[in-house]
Parts: sequence; structure tokens; C-alpha cells
Amino acid sequence: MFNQFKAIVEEGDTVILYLSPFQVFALPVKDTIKNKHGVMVENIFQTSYGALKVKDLVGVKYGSKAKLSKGWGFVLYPTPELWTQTLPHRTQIIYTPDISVIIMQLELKPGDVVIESGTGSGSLSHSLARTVQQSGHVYTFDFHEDRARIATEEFQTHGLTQVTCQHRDVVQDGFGEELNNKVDAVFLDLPHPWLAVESAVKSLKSRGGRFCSFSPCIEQVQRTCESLRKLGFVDINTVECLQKEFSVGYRNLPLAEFGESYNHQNDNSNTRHKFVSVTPATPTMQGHTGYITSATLPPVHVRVTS
Amino acid sequence: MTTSQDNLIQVGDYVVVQRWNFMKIVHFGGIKGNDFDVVLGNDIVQFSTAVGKPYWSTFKIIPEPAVKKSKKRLYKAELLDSNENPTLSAEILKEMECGSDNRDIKDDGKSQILSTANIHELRESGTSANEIVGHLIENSTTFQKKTEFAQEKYLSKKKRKYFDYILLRPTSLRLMIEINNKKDPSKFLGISMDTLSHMVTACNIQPGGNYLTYENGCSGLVSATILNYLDTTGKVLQVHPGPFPQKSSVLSLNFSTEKLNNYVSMSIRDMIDICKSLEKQNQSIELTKVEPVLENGTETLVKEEIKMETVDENGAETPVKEEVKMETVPLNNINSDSLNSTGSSVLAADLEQCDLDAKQTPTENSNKGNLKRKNSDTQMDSNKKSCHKIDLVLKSQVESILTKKVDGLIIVCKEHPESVLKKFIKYVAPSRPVIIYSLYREPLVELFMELKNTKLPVTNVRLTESFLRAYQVLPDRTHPLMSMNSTGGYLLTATVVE
Repeated sequence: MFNQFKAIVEEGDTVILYLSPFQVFALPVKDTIKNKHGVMVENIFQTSYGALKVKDLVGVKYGSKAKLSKGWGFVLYPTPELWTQTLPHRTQIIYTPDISVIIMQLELKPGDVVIESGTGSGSLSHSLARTVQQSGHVYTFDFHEDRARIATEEFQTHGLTQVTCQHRDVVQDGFGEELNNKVDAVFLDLPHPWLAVESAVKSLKSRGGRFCSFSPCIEQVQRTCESLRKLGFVDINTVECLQKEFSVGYRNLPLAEFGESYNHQNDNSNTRHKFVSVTPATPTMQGHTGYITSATLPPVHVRVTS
Repeated sequence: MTTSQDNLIQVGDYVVVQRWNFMKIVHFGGIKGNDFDVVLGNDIVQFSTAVGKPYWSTFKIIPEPAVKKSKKRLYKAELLDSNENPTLSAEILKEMECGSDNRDIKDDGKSQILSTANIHELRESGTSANEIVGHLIENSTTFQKKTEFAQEKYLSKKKRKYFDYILLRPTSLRLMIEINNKKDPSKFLGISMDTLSHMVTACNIQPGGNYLTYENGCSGLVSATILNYLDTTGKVLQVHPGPFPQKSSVLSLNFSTEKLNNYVSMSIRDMIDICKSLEKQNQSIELTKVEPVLENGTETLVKEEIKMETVDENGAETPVKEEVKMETVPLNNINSDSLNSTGSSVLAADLEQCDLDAKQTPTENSNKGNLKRKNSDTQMDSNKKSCHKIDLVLKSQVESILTKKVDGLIIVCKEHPESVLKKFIKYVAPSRPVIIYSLYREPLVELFMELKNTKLPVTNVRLTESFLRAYQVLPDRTHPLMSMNSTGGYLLTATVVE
């Protein structure tokens, strides 16, 4: 599903129902789903434009309109970005602007093997899986057993066979013997990332690789950088990335009145000035998400540790 | 990457040359394959010794006697002895005293006793960087009064200038952007690393996907980026305004031949010819009621599109009797070049049927002037074609990409993007993205309003700007970098719908 484009909705797909920028939903295309009490019920999705029997989407073309009882919405092909926008939160998640920078900093390409810890809600995992494709592999670890289990199920439903999710505390137990010298890149989103840097070195290939860590606090970054320097990483670099979205539209302002009366009482265009405005899309914006620290581990024969 | 897999530096590779924290990408051996001179500021380093050495090797540069009188200093590179450590300064610092603040330091320009000529002499005589820096410190009246941090900063600055160790490492997309944007962001039209990363993400690159880019003025950065994330079955079609594509970025990533085969470039002129012939083809096919048999097994999607477009065309110019002749012109034309190359065939019987069908169509409306103009346009087209030959293999490749419809359209150019978007949006499959970059906000705002007002089939239209802040992270000295790029440009993204 998430691995290859297709043109027509089939049973078992996850589709995106797009109503407006702030009304976007991921829906599983099947007859019945579990409701919040765990009982199987008919899969009918309620929107502000009326109800949708999700199963009826089978055979509909991606990118076309779906009829709702009081309107319509677009049925879109699920991308990792739309998934990030709609997924059920089990933790704080990493959003698309940061994900993009992380993927570029990890220097991933199809066929690569990458480690992610923790899995969290699987937001980044979907993007990692897309980038390494089915010829590569994502090993993702979470120390929370339930989270790891639910994420595993989700990856299966989405057909992401290149993702392996495991319940594991990587700070205590590392990434496992079987991954020693096997991976091209390591990503950490942990409370104590500096404690897992040594394990990252073990897992990275002998010809070296990339490392990236996402942390909200500067103290975490400082400790991680310290640890990276000690273990021979180079190109150590910390950035933060914020994305500003604009809303564009016509607006108009009244013209100032100076008491002089003209005969334009009924003519709106003379009393108001119309213009195209570009304003922030939301009144408040994310001022901080996290620091992205990345580094290169050189090949083993030129590594200098201190 | 082909060459870095065996990890040896080979002639023809693009290599990152790193001197302390300065980096540059070099085409190793040059165009002729025998030019190993690398220019680093005022120094020219001869690197022929690096051929066949592993990537990540460090070289020491040794001064060479100047052959000609020139301002540049000549050096040759020698592979560093494995027990020689290319770091300098750490040892020097350990033995140094340092001050606690700068209260005793006066900026009177007299702190360095050595004159520029003295330093120049030292360099000419082949003194090592370590020794030069040692001399500089010895002859500095203020160095010992500087704080520990200030001393480190001073050394780092000197190192950049005198460091005589050079590292050769493989190129990567990340390094390419970093190197370029440090030097001259305008070479990539101001696209910052983060903005580029947002573009790739929005493009949702999938295995086997076909991506259309219109690039002008960014050295093929977008094509290079897509190729980097694409498997070996997908394709990048780069449309370029001039006769030749700008593709230095594509080359500098050392892609395998397999990957490079998936990079297709075509001039806008040839592209428009193909678009026109495809449109006519669709039109004629509908007229002949022939089901098109296309190479890759026509999907329902394509068929519907054909019908839709023909309706538009017929709406504009309803067939009349005089038109019969005109319509056969493009048909012959198509039969001879475009249809054959896409693997379709129009039989003679079908052609006759076409004539019959056309004759039977009722006359409803005629605008002779308009039709005649159309007719002469067509002839001009075929004339143009006869004097300007497009590579047939390339042509059929492009035609098959366009008929299947592309999985993403990215526009990064010096031109106003509106006309480009309108030209190519019909070749984008539904539920796929269009991404337009501009260094300026205004053209994208105009385009945003245009998308709202005209009924172009898109949804999820977003205008964004990215902000990237880099940090210095050092013990007790963590803060954002003092200078940063003020903008990384603007992005307009949208999803194409039916």
C-alpha cells in the first residue's frame, strides 16, 4: 500500500479523506472496524458533510471525489506525510518538516539499512521505510511493549514488509549482536540519546555511516555532542528547523474617512480597498520542536577516538 | 554510487576535498582525465598520487618549487603516514597559560611581532603548519592573555589558513548542498538544505515512479536529488529551456550507469512538440474510434483522459466538412512518427473509417478563419520537425512517460512558474504532487490565487517557508551561529485531483 502507487482503491487499503486543510482523515477500507469499546461495528465515518460508508470507496480512483450525504471530499493516496498528519498519537510525534531534514541528514537512499529508536507512533518510521524502500530495511525499537506491538500491527496493515519493530530498551541492551556492522545510519529519539551512541558505533558498518538524534532540550544535545566527539564522529552539526505556512486570500480594508462627503454611499469599491494578503496560516506557530544533531562516523581505519 | 563501493578514488570520480573545515567538490582528473591540480585559495595542490587510494585518506601537502612566477603556491600531495596525526594545536594549548578575560588585551594592531613578509618567508621555506602556528604564537604578545576559548578560536582560524593536511572523501547529496550553499547559494537559486528536503518529501518518491522536473538555473539539483532517492526502475524527466540540460549536480554524485540511464533530459522545444503530437494523437484517436493500444497496457485512467481532452478540443472547434482534410494531416503525421514509436498502430482500414466518421459528423458551427490558422500551424509543425530531429528512442521514452502520466512535477526555475505549471499539470496523475519553488514569495502568491480562481484540478494547496538555524555546541559555549542564511526560498505544493 505505502510501497507502490496504485490508481484504484481496493479493500484493505488505507485511504486519506481530504475535506479541508484541517479536516484530513485516514480511513481503513473495510466492512467493519472496532469501536472505542472494542466491539466490531459497521465502518461508517461521520464528517461534517455527512456520513461515508468507507467500504463503498472500493473501485474509486485515487484523487477523485467521494460522495458524502451532504457534500463530497477527495479520496487521496496515502503518503507518509498525510499519515503523519492523521495518525493516532500514542506519543509526541516528529512532524514532516523535521522528518524531511532528518532523512536528508541521514543520507539515506534505496537499499540502505537504518536503525530507529524509539518507534513512538511510527510517524518517522513510515518516511524511513519509503526512503530505503523494499530493498532496504528499517529496524525500529521501542522500550514500551504496547507501543511496539501496535506499531508492528500498523506496519503490517500498511504492507511495510521492510520494517521490523521490536520491543527493546536500547540504552540497556544495545541494538543487538545481529546488527553489528550492518547498518548505514542510526537515528535516535530517546530521553538519553548520549547513552546509545556507543551502541550506534557498534551497529554502523565498518566503512562508517551517518548518525542523527532528535532532542527537544539543549542539555541533551550537549551531552550527545560530547559523546559523539569522544567516539570519533566528525561533521557534528546541530540545527533546528521550523516551517512557516501562509494563508493567502483576498482581504479588504476600509478607507479612512476625512469627513468630506462623496456620493459613493452604495459603491463599496470606493470605500474599501481590496488586496491579496499573505498571513500566517495559524495565529500561533510552533516555535520549537527539537534540535537535530547529525554526524558522520568515518571508516574504521581512519577513526580517531579520544 | 559505483565508485565508492570499492572505496578507491578513481580518475573521473567527483571527490570532496577537505582542508580543515573548508570543502570543495572536484572532478578528479578533469575532463581529459590527466589534470590533478586542485586549487585551494592561493594554493595549487597536485593530487595524482591519490589515484587508486582509498576514500577517506589524508594527504600531507609538500611545497614544490614554483616553475613560473605566479601568486599561487605549488604543492604536491603525499599519502599521510599512518602514525602521523594530522591534528595540530591540542599539544600547544596544553602547555600554554591563559587569561580569564580580555581586560588586558588592547587592539592596537601591534600584538603580532612577525610581519607579513616574515610569515611569507616561512611558508616559502617549506616550514610546516605546526611550526608556522608555533612561531605566530611565540611572537604574539597577547596570546597568553587570551582566554582558553579565545586561544582555541585563534588556532582554529590559523588552521584554516595553514593546515597542511587534506582529506579526500566521497561526495553525497548533503555535502553537495552544504558546500555549494556556503560558497554561493545563488548557484542553486537559493534553495537551502531544509527547503530541498521538504521538496523531496512532498514529492513522495516511490519505486518505479516517473518524475517530471522543469529546471533552470540550479545545475540540475532537483534531478540529482530525485535520482538519489529513486530506485533503478523509476525515471526522472528533466525539461530544460536551452538546447542542453544543466546537470553538473547529477554528475557530481557519482551515480551508477544504471541510475544515470533513468535520467532523461529534453529541451522544452522538443517537449512541446511531443506534447502537441500527443494531444493530436488523442484527438485523432477519438475521431477514429480506435481504442489505443499502448505499450504498457492502457489503463482506464489514460483512456478517460483521452476522452476528456477530446471533448475540450471538439468543444472549441466542431468538425465541419472542410475539416476532414485538415484532420488527416496530423493523422498521417502521427502514423509516421509518434504512434509507431509508442508501439501503437493505426491500420489503413481505421484511417478510412476515420474519413467516413468525419464526413458523417454534423455541421453545427464553423469558424473558418480559426480552422485555417490551425491548419497552417500544423503544417509549420511538421516542417519544423523535418529540420530538427529528436532522438527517436528518447522521444518514445518521453511519450511513454507522459501517456502513463507522471507521479510528481517539480518546477524550479528563473522564469515565472505559472505558464510552466499550466503546460505540464495535465501530465500529472491524480493524487500526485506538484511542487513549485521560488526564491521570491510574490510569484507563488500570484500562482496560489490563480489556482484558487481558475479551476485547475488541485487541492491541498500550501505555501510555506522554511527556517533553519544552526548551533555551535561546545562545552560552556553553546549558542546559535552568529550568521545564518536569511531565507531558503518559498514552496508552493498541491495535490492533483480529478
